[in-house]
Formats: sequence, structure tokens, C-alpha cells
Amino acid sequence: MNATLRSALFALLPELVLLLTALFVLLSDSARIPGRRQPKGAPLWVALTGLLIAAAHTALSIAAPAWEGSVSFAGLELNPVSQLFKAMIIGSCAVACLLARTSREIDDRDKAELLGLLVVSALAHCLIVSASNLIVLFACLEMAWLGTYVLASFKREEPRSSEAGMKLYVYGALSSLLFAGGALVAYGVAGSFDIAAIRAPLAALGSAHDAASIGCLLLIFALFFSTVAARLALFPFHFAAVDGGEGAPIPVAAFQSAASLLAAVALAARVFLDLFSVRSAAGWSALEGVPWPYVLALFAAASMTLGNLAAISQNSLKRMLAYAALSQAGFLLIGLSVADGLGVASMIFSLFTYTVMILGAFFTIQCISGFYSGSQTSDDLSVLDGLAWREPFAAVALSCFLLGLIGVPPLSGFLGRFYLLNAALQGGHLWVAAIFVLNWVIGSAYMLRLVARFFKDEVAHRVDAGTKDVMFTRFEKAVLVFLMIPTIGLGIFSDPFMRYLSKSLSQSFELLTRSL
Amino acid sequence: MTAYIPVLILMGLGAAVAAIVLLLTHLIGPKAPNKIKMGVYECGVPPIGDARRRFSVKFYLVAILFLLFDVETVFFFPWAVVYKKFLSVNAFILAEMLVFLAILLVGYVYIYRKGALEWD
Repeated sequence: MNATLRSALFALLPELVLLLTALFVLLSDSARIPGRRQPKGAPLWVALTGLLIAAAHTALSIAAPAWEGSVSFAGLELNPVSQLFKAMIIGSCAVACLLARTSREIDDRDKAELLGLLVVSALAHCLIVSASNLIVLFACLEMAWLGTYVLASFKREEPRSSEAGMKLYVYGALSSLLFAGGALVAYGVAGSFDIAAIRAPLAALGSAHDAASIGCLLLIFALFFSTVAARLALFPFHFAAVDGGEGAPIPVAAFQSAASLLAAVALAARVFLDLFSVRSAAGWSALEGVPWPYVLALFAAASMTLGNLAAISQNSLKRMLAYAALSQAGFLLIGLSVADGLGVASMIFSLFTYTVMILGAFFTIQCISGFYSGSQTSDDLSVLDGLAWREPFAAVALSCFLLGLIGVPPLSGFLGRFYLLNAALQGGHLWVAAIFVLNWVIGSAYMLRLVARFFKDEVAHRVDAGTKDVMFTRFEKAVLVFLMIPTIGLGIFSDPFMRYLSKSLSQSFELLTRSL
Repeated sequence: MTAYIPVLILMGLGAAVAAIVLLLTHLIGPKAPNKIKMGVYECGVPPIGDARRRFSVKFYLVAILFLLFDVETVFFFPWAVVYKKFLSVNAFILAEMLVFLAILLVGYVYIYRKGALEWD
């Protein structure tokens, strides 16, 4: 429904709160209360408070929505699924802020700026999730991209960080260019930037069987698909994301792996399911002339395979996690390419569990490598040798997250992939399912090899003399346990969540097609 | 054609302001020339000699900050053009620009406090 200004402002409260939080983080860093000592750590508390309020409002709007179905306002469209994505993005920003707090890679003076940038980046990703107008989508993509490369190159003195920022800059510019091109041609065809209004002219292009129309449609599809693939870091657009994940400081890498993928998946769903498909009883059927499920499945399979194989030979923890994220993106998009309610629901479930696990993995890795190498955070794999004997808690936590990432039961990663496989088989995509299973098995190799290193014989490690005398403070342990609970819990009790997803999905997308 | 008269007025005013300032400086400014003061001014850099000389990175910072606030000014122009038309509906357009200004004001306060506007 189209909202009045007041109800729209209430619905968009999380975004407004995020904006105010970012501004107040900057202000609190530069505020000087005359006569009293400047409070240390004020920016972090401001950031966490704002994120908590935004997350609470988002969660409230999922549990007890103040509006019926979905709300449209000024090119943004809010429905239960988008609220769920937003809650995940805000959650990952909160974890990234906590990571920034204990990070030894980043100077204390710069931490407030990092927090402000993280919050603004979270805002941008939240807006991408809700955008339903091509102009708004373009503006939000640019905003998110800007945050990405500025954050990645945050450690100015380290060459890898600057290099990561430069690569993300170039690739981001490329993806924005492709999107702008697609949006322009779509506007030329449809006369409007609203996604709901573009679908019908595109369908008309598809059903007119002359070369010009088909060519035009394929051009639009190619441009939009390339943009989405670049944002998702699918093969062959993965190079920047992998190098970016390796060079960026750990809080940033964690946030990027989680939130960037969330927003990119939402973008993919928006483009493929809303723009290039027609909703039918059985799910979504692609527009005539645009076989996007097959193209998507092809690229997803390629990314899966590449991610799994390339991760085997990595010696750098962050790079290996980046390749793991790449292969996970491939697995997820198989769910999207099935193009029915079951596929999309399992994709969202898998995405949620992946977010929790990847954040947990980065958190643990930061604690471990911060303990051993201080500010020169070397992420060499040798830091993990014999971890099980030295620090049992670290080994338990890290193996929980890493094994979850490759889908070992009873962790939630297994159920995520199981649901995806189920969706692929029920949709009748046997070849895709076969490649899926093959990659699932082969892809476990690198992670199992890593986890096996935990049990190596006692190796002496130099502990960096620094401010940390234990690997995990109680607070960090609490955060890790908090992240482990959904990892294990959702592996066992996934049914309520899956049922909720299917229900809210059918609710959300039904309202979109009512206007057709 | 008559729509361009404001542009003409703007041009004239700009030229007039520049000319008046120069004229006033010449008429009422104190006159105590010496060799250094009458020399060419190049932001503190010696004007004659090898061009490959180090210069302060503050120039870059000032340029970037100027760029940001200049882009803000550029965004004002289209807003100003449609302002009157939208104001007759409700005050939303004013509130929108105030929000934009507020965000940039926070940025300004931040750079002021962080000492980015200090030359040394």
C-alpha cells in the first residue's frame, strides 16, 4: 500500500536511526565536554545503542507489523522479507563494531571513523534491500560501494589494504556502470524507473518474436545480470572480492562477507524475481526470452567449483574464508535459480546461517591472531597448529563455525544445504543437484584439512607481548557463544523458521503481483 | 530569451564585485611596499626556481574539503529552481534541504574539531 508520510517515517525508522547513529558517532568522537575528561569509547556505545534500536524496531516490525503486507514509499518497498534481511544486516554491523572494538590492527584514534563508516555502510545495504525503483537502487548501490572501498583501504599504511581498496573501487565502478546502462535501456523501453512498471514492457518485448525486441531484451538482461553477478562476486567477477577480503582489516572483511552478500542476494531476488519473472501459482516463471534460471545456475555452479578448489591451496586464513564465501554464494544461488517458494526460502535460511557462521569465524580468527601476532596480524595458517591442545575454547568455537560453513551435521550449515538440495531436486533440476552434491563433498576438503591442523602436536608459538594476556575476554567468549547458539540450534530446530520464511515469502510477493 | 536576464544580472554582479574590491583596495589600502611584498605570491612556495619541490599535503586536504562543500552547493541549484513550486504544496521541500544541510553540518563540525582546517 502507498503510505502517508507519517506512517512511512515510522516504517523507515531503522534507516533514520542508522543515519542519526552515524552522525552521532562522528559528533561524539569530536565532542569535548569542557571541564570533564573526554569519555573513552563513547563512539562505540553510541553506535551499539543506535544499532540496537534499529534492530529492535526491525524485529518488532517482523513479529508484529504495524502495517498490512508491504509498504511503498518514495521508491522503497518494505515487506517482511526485506525486514528480515535488514535485521541480519544490522546484526552483522553490530558484530563488526564489536570486532572493531577489540581489533589491534586499527589505531584507537581511527576507531570512531571506522564505526561511523560501518554504520553508514549498513544503512546503504539496508536501503538496497528495500529499493524498488531503479534510480533509488542505483543511488544505494553507489553508497554501498563507496563504503566498501573506503573501509577496505582503512589501514592506509599497509599496502595490501590499499590494494584491496583500489581493486574494489575499480570493480565497483564497473558494476555501477553496468547497472546504469541496464537502467537506462529499461527506462527507454518502459518509460518509468519503477520496477513494477518495467516488468510488463519487458514481457511484451519477450513475446514479440522479432530480432530487435529479443536483442533489446537480451541486452537489458545481460547488463542487469552482470551487475548482479559483480555484486555477488560470482565467477568471473570474484577477483576483487577475494583480494578485498584478504587485504581489508578483519572487522571490515567480516562485515563485507556478511552484509554485502545479504544486500547482493536481495538485489538478485529483486532483479530476477521481480523484474524478469512473472509470479505464478508454482512459483516464478521466467519471462519468455530470458532464461535466467539456467544462466544463474551455470554461474553459480562455476563459482561453487572455483571457490572450493581454490581454497584448497590457500595459506592465508582470510583469503581462504573469502573463497569459502565465494563458494557459499554459489550454493545459495542454486536455491534462487530453482525459482519457486521452496528454493527461495531455503536460500534465505542458508544465507542466515551463513551470516552467523562467517561472523563467528572472523571473530574467532581475530582473537586468535591478535593474541599471537598483535598488530601485525599475520593470518598465516600456521597460527592454528595445535590449537585444540593450547586453547580448547578457540578450537571448539572455530571448528563449530568452519564445519558449519561446509555443511557438517548437526550444524545449521548442513540443514541449509540440505534444504537447497531438496529444493533443487523437487524442482526437477537433476544436473544442478548433481553438481551441488559433488561440490559439497569436494568442498569439504579444504576446511577439514584446516580443522585437522587443530590437532597437530604441540607447537611452540610466540605470544606477542601486548595488552592482551588472555586470548578471549569474558565478553568475547559471550559473543562467540551467542553466535554459536543459532549455528547449532538452527541445525536442530529449523522447522519454525522455515515455516515462517515460506509464509512471509508468499505474503510478500503476492502483494507485488496484485498490482499487475 | 527573457529567462536569461537573471543570468546576465549574475554575470554583471560578479564582475562588479570583483572590480569594486580591487578599486577599494587600491584607494584606501595602506601603501608601504617592500621587495618581498611586491613579489609574486604562490601560496608560500618560492615562485622562481626548480618546479620539482616538495609542498605541503595540506593543499590536497583543502582541495578535497572544498570539493565536498562545492558539490553541496551544486546540489542547491536545482533545489532552488523548483523550490517555489513545491513550497506551495507543503513544507516538505524545506525540511528535506534542512536535513541535507544538517548532515553536512555534522561533517563540518567533525572536520573542524579534528583539526583538518588547521594549516600547521
